[in-house]
Amino acid sequence: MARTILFVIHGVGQRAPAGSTNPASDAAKTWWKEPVDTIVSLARKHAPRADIGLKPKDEGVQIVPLSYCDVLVDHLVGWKDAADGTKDVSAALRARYPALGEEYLAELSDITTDDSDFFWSKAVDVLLYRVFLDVRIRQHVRTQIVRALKEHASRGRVPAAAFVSHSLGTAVLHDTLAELLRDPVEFGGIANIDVLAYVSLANVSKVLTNLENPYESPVRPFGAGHTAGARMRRFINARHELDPIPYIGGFNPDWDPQTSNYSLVTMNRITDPNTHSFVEYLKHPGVWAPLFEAILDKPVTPEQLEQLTEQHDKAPLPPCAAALETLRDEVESLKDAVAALKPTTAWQSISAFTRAARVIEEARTACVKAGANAGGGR
Amino acid sequence: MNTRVVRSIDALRCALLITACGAFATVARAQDGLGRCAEPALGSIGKGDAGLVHPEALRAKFAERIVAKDWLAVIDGYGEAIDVGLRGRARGSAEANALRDSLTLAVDRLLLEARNAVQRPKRTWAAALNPLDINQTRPTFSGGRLVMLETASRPRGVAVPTAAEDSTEVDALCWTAWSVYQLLHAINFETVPDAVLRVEATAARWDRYEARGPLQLPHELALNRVVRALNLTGGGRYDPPTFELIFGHPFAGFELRRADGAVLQQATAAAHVGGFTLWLADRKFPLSVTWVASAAQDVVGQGPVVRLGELGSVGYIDRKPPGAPSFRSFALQLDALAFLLDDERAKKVLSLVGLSAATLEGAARK
Repeated sequence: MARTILFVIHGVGQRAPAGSTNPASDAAKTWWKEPVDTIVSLARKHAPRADIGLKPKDEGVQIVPLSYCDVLVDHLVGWKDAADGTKDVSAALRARYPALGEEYLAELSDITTDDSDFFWSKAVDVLLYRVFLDVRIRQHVRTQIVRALKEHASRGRVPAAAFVSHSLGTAVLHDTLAELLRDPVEFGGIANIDVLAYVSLANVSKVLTNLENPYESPVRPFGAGHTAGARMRRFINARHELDPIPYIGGFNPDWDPQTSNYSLVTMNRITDPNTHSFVEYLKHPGVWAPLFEAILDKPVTPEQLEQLTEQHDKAPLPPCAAALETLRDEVESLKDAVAALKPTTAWQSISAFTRAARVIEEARTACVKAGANAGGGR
Repeated sequence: MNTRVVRSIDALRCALLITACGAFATVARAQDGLGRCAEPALGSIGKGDAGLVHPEALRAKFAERIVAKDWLAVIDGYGEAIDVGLRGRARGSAEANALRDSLTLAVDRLLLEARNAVQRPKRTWAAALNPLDINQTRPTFSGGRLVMLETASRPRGVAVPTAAEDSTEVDALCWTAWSVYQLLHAINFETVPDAVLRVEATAARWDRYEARGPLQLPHELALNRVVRALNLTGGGRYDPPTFELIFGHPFAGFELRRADGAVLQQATAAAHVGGFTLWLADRKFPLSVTWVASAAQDVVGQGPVVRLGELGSVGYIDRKPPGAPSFRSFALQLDALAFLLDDERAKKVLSLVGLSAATLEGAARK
């Protein structure tokens, strides 16, 4: 049993390692290693006596990775021919699946042939979740949550819970929890779980709004908006200024941090050219410190948090100034495009998500290359 | 009998009532930053005059009632104990008094509403507890402050006095808070096993749906999403559908035709033009009926095909070549090949096919 369960859920593009014979299952079994290792390592450093991990002792904090990539990969394998060799995403889908409707297909026409690989490897997940498989995926994630709570229930109580979600996972988890918390007739006492903290990293749940507006659902912090029905003791929302994904995601609630338990962490220091990295978000003290305060009873005053953030921001920039400059320009340009488009639906956002994935990947590749060149020159 | 003796007897009784002790209790916490306000360990004893509201003391005192699931009596008993152990105490510091006033108000409301809840059918208990913020009495840290009574309408909670206070005052407040937290969660938990069964049953239905149902292409998923939105799919809100449409779905297969005393086999490119899948027997058995168009030897034929669960799809194709008599073929979808990999089964299937083909050919000649 565990005193608290920390659920962690992934974003887009989680696939099995190359050569996998069971890609769906292997994707689910492997995606979480880095984020979980990061959480455990941060906890060991900042709360050394804390018992947290995949196998904590009794009364520790159990980390439970939640997966939905297995459902996505399963379907992509079934549709494999749809993804092979198709560089013009819109034309490929139009030719093969005319029933999708012209109005939706037109939204994909902005995906260039250069970006098509990023569509099939990442952004297609958004489409699969939001348009095709949402009910199935919510059920899949909900079952994992309920099983973990049941497994760790002890002496007449389910453990308290906390959640960390990233990217597309913010939409999946929001929808799953909103449904779960709203329906105590179906889900019994599970609907009354004690949610100690909810962390969303690069939140996209607004543009992918599905069942319920995330600004008004139970997945909002105490004191936010209409006070009745808010169920998160604290809600930590982090976004990087140079990560275009949350910008497209459009999650900008008007919750007041002074009167609600909402904290907005805006990052601008580049610690990694992949500004959308799950792990880099986790490493920011604005994210982990309030999370650990909630789940490890490790108090953090605002002054301490400020000091931790200052220390974190002293980290050196990655050694690829030119690549980072290009990243800045590309992100600004993408933001301008998104501002003009004002996407409000999943379909409208797909091409922007695809382009964003390319921009980040190119910056990452350029930075690795620059690092290799610098290393080789020594 | 003095209080200490009563408590010892209660502890002994509780030790004997293993199930009762297990019904709701806490266990030791190796590290805890909540200090004095940490959840008391299993089997610990609340010392001092605040001991009346200690979670372990209350659990022991009402062990028999808890085992009997006589929640009304347990709630009333807890209420009375808290009346004496918390409300009956002398007033303390201003900070402690503020928390005590807020806590007693909250506890009164929580216990009253919990009392109302447990008098309803059990399936509704969780719904009755849902608006109450049953988690609010749990002490927690927020921005470095130890607080309790965090709720949607009181997001910052009420500070727990931790420094320079009468320690028994803090004990009384924290132990009361944990006692109420444990009690409400124990009542709430009564509804959990059935809910877990429902969730597992739904998961099993989805697993069967995925494993046994036909693969859907994106446009079919999109179409069936509309069907689901129109509430035409049947089943519960969280269940997989019981009725879905099939539309424009290409598949590879082969046709078997009897000619010149032998069974001719030919690969075919075919598509389900339209049809539906109906799930029977709690989604254990999908039955699909479609109208199929199949091209072979440059002639397109059409006919009905029935998919029988996981067994495969069978049907017949009526084909009319230009300037030649029409003929019918027995159509099989590729998943039926599984049968043919097994010699014994293959013989049976081919025998069945032979009979069917003969019948169809006879019908065609008429």
